[in-house]
Amino acid sequence: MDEQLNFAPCGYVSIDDNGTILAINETLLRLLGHNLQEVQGQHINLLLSTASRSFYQLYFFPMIRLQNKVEEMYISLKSKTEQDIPILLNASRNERNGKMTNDCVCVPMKRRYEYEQALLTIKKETDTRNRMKKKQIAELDRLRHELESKQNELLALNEELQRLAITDGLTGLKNRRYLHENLISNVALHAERSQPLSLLLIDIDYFKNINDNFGHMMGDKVLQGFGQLLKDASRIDDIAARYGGEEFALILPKTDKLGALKIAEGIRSQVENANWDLPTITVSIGAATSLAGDTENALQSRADRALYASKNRGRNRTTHASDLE
Amino acid sequence: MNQHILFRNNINITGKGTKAMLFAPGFGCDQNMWRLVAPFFEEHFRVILFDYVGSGKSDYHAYNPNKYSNLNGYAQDVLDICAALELKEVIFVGHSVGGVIGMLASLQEPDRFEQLVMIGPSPCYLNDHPDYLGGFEREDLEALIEMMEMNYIGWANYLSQVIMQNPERPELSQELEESFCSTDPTVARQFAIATFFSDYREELQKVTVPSLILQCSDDAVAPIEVGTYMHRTLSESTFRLMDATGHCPHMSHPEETIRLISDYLTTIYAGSISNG
Repeated sequence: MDEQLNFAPCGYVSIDDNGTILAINETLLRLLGHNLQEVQGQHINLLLSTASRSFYQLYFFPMIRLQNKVEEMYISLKSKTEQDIPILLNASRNERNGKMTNDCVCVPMKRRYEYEQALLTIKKETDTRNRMKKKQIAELDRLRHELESKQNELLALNEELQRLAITDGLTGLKNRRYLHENLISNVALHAERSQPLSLLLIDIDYFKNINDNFGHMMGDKVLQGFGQLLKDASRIDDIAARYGGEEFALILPKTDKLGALKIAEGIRSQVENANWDLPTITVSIGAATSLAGDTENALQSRADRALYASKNRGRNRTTHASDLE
Repeated sequence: MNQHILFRNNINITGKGTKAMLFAPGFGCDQNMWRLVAPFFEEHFRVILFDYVGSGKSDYHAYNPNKYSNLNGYAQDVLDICAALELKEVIFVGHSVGGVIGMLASLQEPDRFEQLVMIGPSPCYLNDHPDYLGGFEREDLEALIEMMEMNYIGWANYLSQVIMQNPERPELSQELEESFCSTDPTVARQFAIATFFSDYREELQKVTVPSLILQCSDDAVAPIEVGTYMHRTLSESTFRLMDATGHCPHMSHPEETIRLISDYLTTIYAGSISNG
């Protein structure tokens, strides 16, 4: 080996495809603490740690064989005293005297190794933190979705409860509680706007007889049938409610006496002419229309009196409270 | 589906024969590893080469960290390839972890495989004292993975980010891609962990497909004790100790590798003909 290469400021070793060391320079021998006799003709494994031996097999050899060169490979050498010596290695594959040799040069990279180790550690920590952050965000996201869906369930449940709380179970009409609340607000609203508001109270005639003669099932069917008829007769803003038993009510916003009587008469005749699979069913209706300074109680009791009058006058008829005096 | 698999695993088919030979690369490299061996078999076989997802010219988008967290994910890909090409009674040739992947695939669908040729395989790299010598202590494997990281894995992520911000230097990314047989860095790390910390010793005795084990002399990755352990445990196995040293005889000693495989196949098929 020529003097310049032997003492060049970099390590030099050439190995054959079996890993046998063919030549090695003094610089590298000194770095490793070996002498030439100990190393020449030996397997490169002599200079490698267990991990490096595998690395050599898994990466160095396939690369030099496939690409004829290796560049900037980090690998750790093992000194005679079993110290790890990190080096940076370049290699090229050359044919000399008809044989293939893999020529390697290397420089120790102790300080650079320390820096890179430190950077790698920080990078790993950052990666770990990022992974944790991602996981936490995913978890938060999951919780948010869960909360949202629970909230939606709760809202739907509330809506359903609210609907049930104001609905008459048998007929699906509004119940008495709702009727009462709605009447209060509607009376106030119509008074404020000086608009007429009418109320119909409707009672199915001789309902007790239906129950007694045909059974409660049939009675319920009649209540349901009438509920449907009332619903169909309602305009969009009208409120149809079951008052209790066989008594029903219909709130008619923005409706005066004439309008109310027309609607009431329509309902009465529809009931009379409907096919109930029973002896004729009829209803009695009491109507009232709000006056200036009216309260819902006053309106309701006038409608009640009118209903009573319809009953007294032979049923199957409509009476308006204002016609009573 | 078929096209998708062919693309995903960068499948290349050559050869004049009808019987299929499927070559699976080892850890960290792609089908180029077979270029000194596979062409020999083209005269009599249908030679099929492929890359693992995340290596070589495979479809890197198909990588799924869950699926490939252990070798069964890779074995599934081998089965996908067999299904896509409608292969049956394949002669499977696997280097290193490739052999184990083929073995795992054969446990799922034995009918697909007629022979397993395993070059330097190991079912478990860790020593399990005192009964089993895999060749490595945990620290050795950790040091190996650290060395991979120092070379490539730990940095390529950073570098690729830097490169993406330097579109005026495309040659940098090209260089990176070519280095280390182009394996995606995060994939390589996971593959390394799946490979080197695996233990498939339990599976060996379930293998029904006959096998040939090619064991190198002086292999730092799969020592001779591992090869003899496999031979003892695999039911219908043939064991050949090679003159070749190292871990990649198909690259360092292609003639011997070719000779041992073709001798084995000749014996098998001569036998089957005389029996038939």
